[in-house]
Amino acid sequence: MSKIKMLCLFFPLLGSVGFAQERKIKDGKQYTYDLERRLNTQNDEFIRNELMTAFAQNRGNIPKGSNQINLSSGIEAMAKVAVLACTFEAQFNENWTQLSELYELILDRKPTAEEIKSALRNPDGTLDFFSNCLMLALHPEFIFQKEGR
Amino acid sequence: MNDELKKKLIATLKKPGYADHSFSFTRRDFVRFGLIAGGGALLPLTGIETALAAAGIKNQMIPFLTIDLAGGAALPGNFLVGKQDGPEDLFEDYRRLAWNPRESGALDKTFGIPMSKKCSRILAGMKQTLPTEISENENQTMFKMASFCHFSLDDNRDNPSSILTMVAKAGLRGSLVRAGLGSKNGNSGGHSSSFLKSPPFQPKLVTDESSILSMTSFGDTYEKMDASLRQRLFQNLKIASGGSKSLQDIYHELSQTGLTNPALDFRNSADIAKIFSGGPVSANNSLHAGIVYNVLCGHTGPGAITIEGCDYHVPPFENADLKDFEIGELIGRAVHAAFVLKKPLFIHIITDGGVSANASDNYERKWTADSNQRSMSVLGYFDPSTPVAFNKHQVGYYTNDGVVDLVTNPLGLGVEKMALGVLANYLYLHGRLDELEKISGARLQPNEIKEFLVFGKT
Repeated sequence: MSKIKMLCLFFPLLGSVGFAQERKIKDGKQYTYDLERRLNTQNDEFIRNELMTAFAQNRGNIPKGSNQINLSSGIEAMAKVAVLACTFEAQFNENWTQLSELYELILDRKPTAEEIKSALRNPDGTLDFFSNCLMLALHPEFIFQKEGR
Repeated sequence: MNDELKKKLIATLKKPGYADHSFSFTRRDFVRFGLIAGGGALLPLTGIETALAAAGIKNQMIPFLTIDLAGGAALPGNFLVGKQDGPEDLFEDYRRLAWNPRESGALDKTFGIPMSKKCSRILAGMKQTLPTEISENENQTMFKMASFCHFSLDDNRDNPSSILTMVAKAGLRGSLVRAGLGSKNGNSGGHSSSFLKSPPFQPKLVTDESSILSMTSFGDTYEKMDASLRQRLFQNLKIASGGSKSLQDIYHELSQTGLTNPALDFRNSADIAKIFSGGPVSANNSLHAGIVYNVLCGHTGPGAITIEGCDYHVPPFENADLKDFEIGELIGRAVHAAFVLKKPLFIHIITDGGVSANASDNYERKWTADSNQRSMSVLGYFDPSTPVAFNKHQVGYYTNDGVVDLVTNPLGLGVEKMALGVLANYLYLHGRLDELEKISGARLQPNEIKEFLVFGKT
């Protein structure tokens, strides 16, 4: 195998090693605020309070400040907040069809062709808002802090 | 190099679980893998493997429970502490500990370490809640306790007394929830802090019965999702993880959970529900029952239960006895639960600091001040199938002045050696003493290990 091929193999692998260890998971309150800000499109006070209550109920298992935490428990706690947030938002998006809007809303980018292909659909082939919303709310690009923070 | 040893080491390294180990052939490697004798190998193995197999514990680790008494409980006011030769090597004056062990019939030795028959409300709480096979039989060998006499900071969450994360690191992980359970927010799941502050082994916080039942559920909407959609959701997240194996593993783990698991409900066992329903009604009974049940069944990793309000020098003084009784009830109930479920149980009772009484001639139980030199921890072990035998009931000691010896005490000036000593005992029961350094990141000298081990041959 040529040296160039070896390097092509080596560097992407190097970049992926320790993804979870090197990047810091978001602070629990920051995660909840981010989710509320992006998903509570109705700017509803009730939803805001419910999300903060869910955060409070899980705060022992969710990262606080710069404290490290059991990553698995942290993402699991985030899932509980995310399920609630996506449940609320799904009620306002019954006839939703725009996957790219949801990606931009949560991840600040459009979906790739591969992501469009693997988007979560109901048995009738229509896009499912809740499950796609939850997937993006638990996406590595959303649960980890942005580089440089 | 001995070729035979080299072959054995290579064979060991090829076994599952040693994938990350390098092929180096030092004497330390041989000791670590148990191929030649290290300090720990001098000590005999117990029948614990048989007991664990009989109890149906799949991961072959003894269920572990920390009982954390927040505020500096009067443990030496219940358990006998003595000088260098053990608890019955009495020092001069016990008035500050509010009981007189020299009084005729003062000692109850049912649980190994002598307790105050007349004054200990912890003993009373235990006797009320333990099965009579244990509580009424002074010769019972199922449940024994031993003490560690040491200094600890008063009213302070920074004592690194908890060994829970090290027990999890040693391999005690749950079958339904890998992490352990703790009733208080913090790195140990209890009031005190962890000796090993390691996020991957930190227990989950559970604050009431419903938080245990809903522990694995992400919420109603998620539970109503089509199962295949749930799997595809996490499949997509695994792909989004790039090459991070650890993140992929977490998403895989999450894909296996998310739903309410009825197996976490302690009410599945009528016996457990009954054990935790008797006596004064406490709002925490169901939380304690849930933690104890799931720890014993191996559904979760190790458990930590904090009992608040153990800072006894605040009047009314009667509250101290009530609190002691509550502590005794919890110990008794946990062991009773292990008894009915036929599981072994290792209990570690810790507190932050201590307390001293007003030194009255009639040994009044009026606790008047914090006293960090009147602190201690207690180790308890229940085994339903193999007799529990201790070769000593006290590690560390008090001086003739009735305070923890800070000069020659092998436990030193803090709680760290106590934590390592208790971990050494836990590992000893599994025949894994030689892993103490690997798990804790700290080293004990062979003579210290020998000093700290309380278990004898069974």
